[in-house]
Order: sequence, then C-alpha cells, then structure tokens
Amino acid sequence: MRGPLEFVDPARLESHTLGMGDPVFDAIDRLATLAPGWDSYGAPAIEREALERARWCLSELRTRLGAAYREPEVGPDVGGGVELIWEPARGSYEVHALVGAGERFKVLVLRGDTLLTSAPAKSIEFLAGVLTRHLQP
Amino acid sequence: MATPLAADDEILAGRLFRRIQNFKSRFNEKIRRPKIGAFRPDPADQGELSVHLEDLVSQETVLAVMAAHPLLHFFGLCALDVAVVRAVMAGRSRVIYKPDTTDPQLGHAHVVLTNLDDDELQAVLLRHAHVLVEPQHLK
Repeated sequence: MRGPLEFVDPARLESHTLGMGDPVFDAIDRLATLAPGWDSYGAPAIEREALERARWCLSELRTRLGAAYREPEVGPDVGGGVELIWEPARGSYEVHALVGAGERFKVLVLRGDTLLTSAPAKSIEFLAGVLTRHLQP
Repeated sequence: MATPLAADDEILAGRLFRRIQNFKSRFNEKIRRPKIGAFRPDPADQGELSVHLEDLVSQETVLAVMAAHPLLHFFGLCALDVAVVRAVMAGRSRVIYKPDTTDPQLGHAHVVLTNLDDDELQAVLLRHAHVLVEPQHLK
C-alpha cells in the first residue's frame, strides 16, 4: 500500500536538505536534537524520515501556494514526527499537519478550541487545498 | 477516612494536572492557551493520556518537581476538573488510577484518561483545561 508521501523522489529530498539558513528548515533540523522523552511523558525521538518529509512538504507548499504561502510554526509530534501549524493573520483557525514516517500524514483544522476536521492527508494537494481554504485573509 | 485507591480504580472527582511543553506548537502565546498537541498521548501509551491527581499530589509539589528538573523547568501546567471532563466526555473517556512505579516522585499520583488518541476528545480537553502556569521560553 502506498503511503501519502511515497511519491517523494529521494533525489529531491536530498536537495531539500541543502536549505541551510532557512529559518523554518533550520527549525525542522533542530527537532533531530530532541532526546527520547522530550515531552516528559515518554515520546520517542523524531525520526529522520519524518524530518525529510516535513522539508519536502514545505518546499512543495511554497511552490504550489506562491504568494499565499505563509510559514508555519514547527514543533515535534509525540509520534516521532513533525507538527506544522498555520494560523491566519486574522480569525481563529489553526491548520495542523502531522508529518511522520511511513503512513502518518494527517491534517487537523480547528476554529478556536473546536475541532472541525481530522483527516488523513491523501496527498500534498489535499493539504494545499486545506491551507488555501482556511488561511486566506 | 477515604478508601485508598487501587490500580484501575475509576476516578470520579478531583483535579488533574497535565504539563504543557515549552514549544510554540504546544502553547498559543497570543491567547495564552495550550494547543491541541498538549493533549495528544504518545502512541506507545495506546490512547492513554498521562496526568496526575491532585488528591494524591499537591500543585506545589508538582511545580517543585518541575522546577528542579532541567527538562521540565520551563514547562507549564494546566488543570482539568474530573467531574467536568466526565460530564462532557459522556462515557467516551474514563479517568483511571494507574500508579507508575518508574516515577518515584509523582508516580503514586499517576492517572490516565482513556481513548485520547481520538482528536475530538483531545479538543474537549483543550476546551476545558485551565492554565495554572504558562510555559516559559517557548522554542
């Protein structure tokens, strides 16, 4: 069974590791330094594959969304993945993408403290569409 | 005198403490509220979210343990009212006493909320959590 990001070309992943000096890519790279148990409740370390997938996602979103693209907050996910969070300049939406190794690629949309959507992301197009719908000013 | 709790007893009342990691992805500085990830259990915990029961450990003790620990020093702390959580969860999650023998300081007060691998239930906790101490120096 193909995972949602299995279409990623490894050669292109390598190119995304060259984004040194890019603040968001650097924030993703820093997650690799977290030791197991970083959340104080036993979370595993962040997997290298998840870091690469998160970099790839951001590169694709920058290209696909163009001027509408906004940088996310970057944080660790308890499943050994990366959590990307976008918030519009106005309004109370939050779009969360949980990017993990293997099959894990999930999107959550909240308005305030109400969960509107929780769905597996089928593709990068799906996430780009969610961001376009919810983050327009 | 109240009967001592035994492992797997259901907790019906009281207050629970949950730490908030000092990441911007876990705490919204603008509205000074946790984000949903603060209530997401580790996959290895099979949907059980770890918290501590105030009846067995005071807020002051929890904060003192955090202050003395280099990892937890800048973490925040929030509280959940068991009766409120039980009412809004309507049976979808239970509050169970599960002492943790690996934690000599707080393990005797360890409690879990079940079924918290459900994002909707994480959002319920988000809605009803009271921030006691905000995390500092967010990363």
